[in-house]
Amino acid sequence: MKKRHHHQQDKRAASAASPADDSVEARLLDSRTVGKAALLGLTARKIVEGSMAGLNKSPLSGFAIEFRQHREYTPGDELKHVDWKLYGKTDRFYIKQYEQETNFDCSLLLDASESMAYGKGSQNKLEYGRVLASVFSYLVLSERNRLTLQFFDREVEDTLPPTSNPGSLHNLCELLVAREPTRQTAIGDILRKLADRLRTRGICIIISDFFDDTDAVVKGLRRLSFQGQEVIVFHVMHPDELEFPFDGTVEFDGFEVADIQTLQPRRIRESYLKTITAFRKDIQKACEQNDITYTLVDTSKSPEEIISGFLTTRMHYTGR
Amino acid sequence: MTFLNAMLLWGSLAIGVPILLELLNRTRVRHMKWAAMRFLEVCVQENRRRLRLEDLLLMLVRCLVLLLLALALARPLFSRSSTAKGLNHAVTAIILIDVSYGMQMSDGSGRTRLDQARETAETIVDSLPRGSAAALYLFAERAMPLIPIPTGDLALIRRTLRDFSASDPASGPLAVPLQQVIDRLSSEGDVQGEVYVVTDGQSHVFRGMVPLSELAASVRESFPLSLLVLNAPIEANLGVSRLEPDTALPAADEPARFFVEVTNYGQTSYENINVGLSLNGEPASAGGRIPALSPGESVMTAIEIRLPEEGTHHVTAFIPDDRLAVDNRRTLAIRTHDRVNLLLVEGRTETEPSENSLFFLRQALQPVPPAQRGDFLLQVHTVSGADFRAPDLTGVSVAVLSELPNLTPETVDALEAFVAGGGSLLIFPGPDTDIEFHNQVLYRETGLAPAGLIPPDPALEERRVIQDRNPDHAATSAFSGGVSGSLSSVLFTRTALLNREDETESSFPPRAGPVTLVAEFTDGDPAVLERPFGRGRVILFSSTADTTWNDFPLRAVYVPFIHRLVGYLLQLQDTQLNLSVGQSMTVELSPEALDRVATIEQLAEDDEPYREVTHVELVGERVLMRTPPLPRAGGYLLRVEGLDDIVHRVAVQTDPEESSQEILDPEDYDRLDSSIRVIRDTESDPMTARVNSLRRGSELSRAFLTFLLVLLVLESILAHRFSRSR
Repeated sequence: MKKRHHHQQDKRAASAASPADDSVEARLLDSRTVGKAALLGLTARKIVEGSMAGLNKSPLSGFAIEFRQHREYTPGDELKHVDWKLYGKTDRFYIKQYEQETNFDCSLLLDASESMAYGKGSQNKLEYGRVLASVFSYLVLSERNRLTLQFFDREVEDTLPPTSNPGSLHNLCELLVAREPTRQTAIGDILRKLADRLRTRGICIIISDFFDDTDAVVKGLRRLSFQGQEVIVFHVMHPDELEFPFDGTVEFDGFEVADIQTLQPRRIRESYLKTITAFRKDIQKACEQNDITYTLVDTSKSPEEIISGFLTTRMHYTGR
Repeated sequence: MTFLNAMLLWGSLAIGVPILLELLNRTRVRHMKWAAMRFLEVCVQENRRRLRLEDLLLMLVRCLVLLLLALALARPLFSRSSTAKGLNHAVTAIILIDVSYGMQMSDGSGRTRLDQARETAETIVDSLPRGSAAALYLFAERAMPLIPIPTGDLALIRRTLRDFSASDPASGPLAVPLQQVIDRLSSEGDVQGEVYVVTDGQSHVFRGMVPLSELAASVRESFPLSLLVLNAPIEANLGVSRLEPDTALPAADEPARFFVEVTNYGQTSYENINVGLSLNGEPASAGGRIPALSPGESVMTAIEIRLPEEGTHHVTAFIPDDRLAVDNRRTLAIRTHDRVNLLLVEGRTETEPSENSLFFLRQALQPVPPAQRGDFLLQVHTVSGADFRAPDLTGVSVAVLSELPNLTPETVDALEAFVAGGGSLLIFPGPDTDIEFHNQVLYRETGLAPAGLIPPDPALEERRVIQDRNPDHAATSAFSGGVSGSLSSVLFTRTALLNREDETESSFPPRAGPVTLVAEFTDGDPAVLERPFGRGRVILFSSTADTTWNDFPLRAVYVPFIHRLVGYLLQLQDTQLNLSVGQSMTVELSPEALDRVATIEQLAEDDEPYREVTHVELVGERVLMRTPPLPRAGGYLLRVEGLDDIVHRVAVQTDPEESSQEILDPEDYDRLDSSIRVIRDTESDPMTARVNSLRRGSELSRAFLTFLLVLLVLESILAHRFSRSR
């Protein structure tokens, strides 16, 4: 069944984008990246509450019920779950337990604040975020999971209603491409509000540079994780922000901060790197403490490398 | 501080360049939109003070670099001189140059210390500001003015510095010539100035350190003193330190031995030193050799030559040349005698010759058989006191007066003239001596006699002997118990007391010199006294010349003593033939030389022998030739135009002590008064630069450039460090 499943995904991946295609999918969904991601697949690491679970009672119809373990019968257990064959052999009552596979709800949050506008071409942070968002949208929808795409800066912006229809991918990609950064970010508040809104346990993918007050960000992430969400963080950073490789005298004009600093970057490079590393480590540490999957995204690396790396690691943990 | 290229100080305006560049750089800024601004702000906030300080420091260093460059190019000068009222203020410089003969020491390349002194003095003159004046003196034992009064004609000073001739005087304590110069300048009105003494620093110059310090301190305001001590390393040097005949009476056409002492003044040992003698400029065939001579050692060798005919002669001892040529030869002028005429004036009127008071003396003076007396060196003529007249003194070298009666005034005058002209006079008292005449005329009026006489009590017999321990008179020093016998063996039964009690300083004519003791009795009374009188000597005995009052003539010591005494007196006459450097002399000539031109010239030992022309003059009744101070060591010939022969020979000798190269220790200069500025020439710190810095100040360009270099390095380090990532 697994093989059949992957075969279907391969076919969808191949149809996701072709080289001659100039559609938004072609811009965001590279066939190699999508193909590799589709092979690895995205599954929930935590137990999720799929919206389809009540609709398919038979364990064999559509959603597999796989044997997990035996446990001793205790009064109150339904007799239908007793393993009679085992009773015949052992003369003792055991309950047969199954693991239920279900679909999940995935919230995909893309930071569309001004700071994400840094970088040129494919290294532009927002553009990179768009690619990540589109690939994960594809992965979620291809498994018939339910996807909610949201942009945020100071506010959360809903796009389409939650959907599990793979056919919605085109619309999603168009929305992603159309969104331009305009305002400052307040990600800490956004995460707290979002945690209050998400009622069902699912996956929440956040793609952002997190250029906000670190404490607020950490609190927001913690809140989100506390609500039972499996939170996946893609911390998008431009190589300039990671390495600060500037020479000469530069006038830095803030994207979100109305400030101009004229200085010789070499002279404070070390200090800057120390600060930015501390910031990154703080976010990473907060993620680790709250069971959040953290991935630093250096926009100089290819999305394929980032995504496949992420998915491979994830598969290792989930065992699937 | 002053600047040699003050115009280049405008270059200091270039300190505005770094500021301008900084301002320009601010316009050359790359604009960049930046997302991680909040982190940048944190960094800037943390580093703002440091960055500002670094920027300021770097700009300051760069401004300083340009300022120093401008200052260095403007050639700044700095002077700590307390005497200079300002670097460009006209001053008066009084330059004293040490010309003692040690200054003729060569460095091996032909350049002498005197050459160094000339250059140093010229540097002083060159360093004088415009409008300054200078005076020029040479000095050794005394000051010798070349340009005594300060003149503004510095070209004349330079010319004089280059042209003055070397001389061979010995040095003496500096305080003496310095005082002479100051006195001379003070007497010329209110002359003041900076005194520069250029010397090689031989320790003789600083023998009187205390007087020098006191003098410098007393004139520090009007004559601030600077000592410029030349670099004078100890060189290898041998010198002829002594030359003398072994006889007091060199006889003509007879062989004579001369003792030549050679001293090693350097720090190198010598072997097989050849010593030669020359007679009247002609090398003698005889010579000597000193096998070895250690540093500081003196060795004497004896060389025998045959002396020529009667007259004055030059005997020169010489050794091979070294770096100090002056002391490699030493010349002695000696007079050889064919005959020495002695006049015995007998005061006692006895018919028997053996009863005469001078009987024994005559025998002692001619201790040869009567037949040989005519050929003997000493020729004795006797005249009675009553018959003694002035003409008797003609041609006489030594006159002996015994138990002298009253003399006529003419005879006394002749006697005075005889002694004053260089003759020697011996006076013996006795029972027949006219005490009143002696005391009144010979002692008090003329000053010929060294003392008055108090006759002995005829009734009282004495027993007195002469004290012979450590006699220091040249005539008696040999008779203290050695092979020549002892004067203490003589027993005096009567003696006249040699009375000088009523003597005062002003009671004698100026030509009567101070009395010296020749011999004394054991009880302290004088036995024999001596007085220089003019150019001659008078010796007064306290007892008779015969055996009336003593047994002296019967003693073995009598004959040698008499000969020694005569030799001593004749040698004293010869000392006028041997002068020290810088001394002048007067020679009495025959009337035919009057008003003629006389020349005095050095024996041709040098490339440029000294030669001077003078006139024979009539002074009183005497025909005299006066020489100027003779500046060089060696033999001199005195000639008179129109007279064929050499009329006189003299020798000028140096003080051998000057050959010693002992120089003052550097630490000893600290003992000098603080007002004396001492500048020592060393290889690491050349005198020329020091002298220039005295006047002009120290040129600080090099220091500024060094500092500039340091700043440039600092700028590079700071720029690199400040631009480093932090």
